Order: sequence, then C-alpha cells, then structure tokens
Amino acid sequence: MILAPIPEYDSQRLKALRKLLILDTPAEERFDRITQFAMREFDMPMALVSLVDQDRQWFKSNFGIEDRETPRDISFCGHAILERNILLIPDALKDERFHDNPLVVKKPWIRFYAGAVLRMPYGVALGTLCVMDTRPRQMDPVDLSILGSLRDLVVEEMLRQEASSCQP
Amino acid sequence: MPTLIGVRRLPRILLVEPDGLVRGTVVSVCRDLQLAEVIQAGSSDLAVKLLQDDSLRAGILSLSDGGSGLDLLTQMREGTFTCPCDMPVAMTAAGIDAATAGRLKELRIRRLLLKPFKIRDLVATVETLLVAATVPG
Repeated sequence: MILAPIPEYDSQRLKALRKLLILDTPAEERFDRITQFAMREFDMPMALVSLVDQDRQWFKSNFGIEDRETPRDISFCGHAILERNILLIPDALKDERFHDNPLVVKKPWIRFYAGAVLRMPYGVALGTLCVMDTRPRQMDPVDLSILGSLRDLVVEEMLRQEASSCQP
Repeated sequence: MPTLIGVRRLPRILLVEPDGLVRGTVVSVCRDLQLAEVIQAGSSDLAVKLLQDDSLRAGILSLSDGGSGLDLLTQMREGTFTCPCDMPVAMTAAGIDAATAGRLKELRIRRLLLKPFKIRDLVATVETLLVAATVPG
C-alpha cells in the first residue's frame, strides 16, 4: 500500500477547507441529493462527498458507508486530490497503491473507485465526489462526463457555502 | 499571418425536464462531449418561448409536468412555433396509458423514456435524435 501523499500546497488547501465552516456539520439534502443521484446513475452501492482534512477524510454526505470519517493516510480520496480531474481505480486489488489497503481487504471491501476532484475556482482541491463498488468495474467517457458534471454541482454548493460562511 | 480557426457550432436541442439536477447534468454532459447545445426549460409552459427558434434540431419533451407536453408537441407539429415542425422529438413520462401512447405515435415521437431513466439514457436519446435530424423523412 502507498499512503496518501501530502500535496505541497496542503496548508493552503486546509486553510481553504476550514474557511468553508463545513467540517463536522450535519448532513444536508443539497449534497445528499447529488450523492444519491450518482449512486442510482451508476448502480453503485457506495457514494460520498469526501473532504480531505489534515489527518482524516470526513464525509459531508455518505451512502453505503456508515462511518463519517476514516484516516487520511489510507483514504482513496487523499490520492485523488492530487489528480487533475478524476481518479479511476477499476480494480483496487490490482493497484499497488491500494491492493492491501484496509478499506480494500476489510469492510467496506472497496474494489472499484471513481473520485472526481472537488476543486475550487482558485485551484485548491478539497475532496471528491466519489462512487465505489465491491467488485471491479469500468467507466466509459459518458460515465466520466456525468460524474464530472455531478461533481461540478457539488462544487457549486460548496461555493454557496463559502459565500454564506464569509457573511458577517 | 494569423488564420481564423472555425469553431464548430453544436446542434441545438431543447430539453423540457422538471428535475433541475437532471437538466443541469444533461446540459453539462452534452457540452462536455461536444454532442449538442442543450437549451432547457423546467416545464412545457416555459418551453413555449424556446420553441420560437428556427435553429432547433430536436427536442426532448416531458409528460411529467401536468401533461401539457402533449399539447406542446401537438402545437409544434401544427407549425405554431418557429422551430421546424417536423423535427425529431422524444418524450419522457412517469407513466403512460394506451390512448396517450397512441396519440404520441400519431405525433411521430422517436422515443419514449419512462422514469426512472438515467442520464446516459437521455444522452443516448440526444444522439439518436440528432442522427434522425440529419436523415430526411
């Protein structure tokens, strides 16, 4: 397993994440609706809006995974935030980064992962909208485009959050 | 000497769909995949203005907004709007009875999508309609 790398700009990224005032807040329908939509669209048993905090990934929206957070170093999303657009892992058991990851070899038994990076307009990646399955899968260009479009809607909601958290 | 590079104009298609999440995603995916420029309306009433557009190539209308989608299609076929009256049209619906299905057939719909459908079904429908729009008859 390769632990989730820490980006060079991580302190700037964490500052932007904290400024949103979204961590450890209750689930919200505006995010859950998109996550559930992604689950249905791709027939996936798990979907998340995951935000990568300093030592954990925390889930603003989680379906198919009971925990609200996992350690950052074993997170798929911790890897995904270094991608430009989408991290696609068709079979985690065949990927040296994840083959013996606790999230793969134990519950929730992740085999397939697709995470679209939640990147703010000023460049920092805060997390992902991701879908997962317990069996190997693939995604074609239409699927990737749909996931990217749903991700854009999550980013829009985060920008709304940012605007409201900046109000006096 | 600088050269002008032509930008391919995407064919324009109308989507009437009450669910904003579905509408927004289809618009974005069709643009991303360079399939079509999708103009959108949340109801048939709001779509009336958008049908006054002779550059429209196809339409996906909805029976799920109170049934006025059928009236809209009827008026379109009668030439009430500026858009081509014979353009290919698909219809979405939550459910449908035999009489309405018969009427839709008379109005020459190309495809009926029953809910719940997926975004990729709508995207495939956009592709089908655009192919039909280039084939005479």
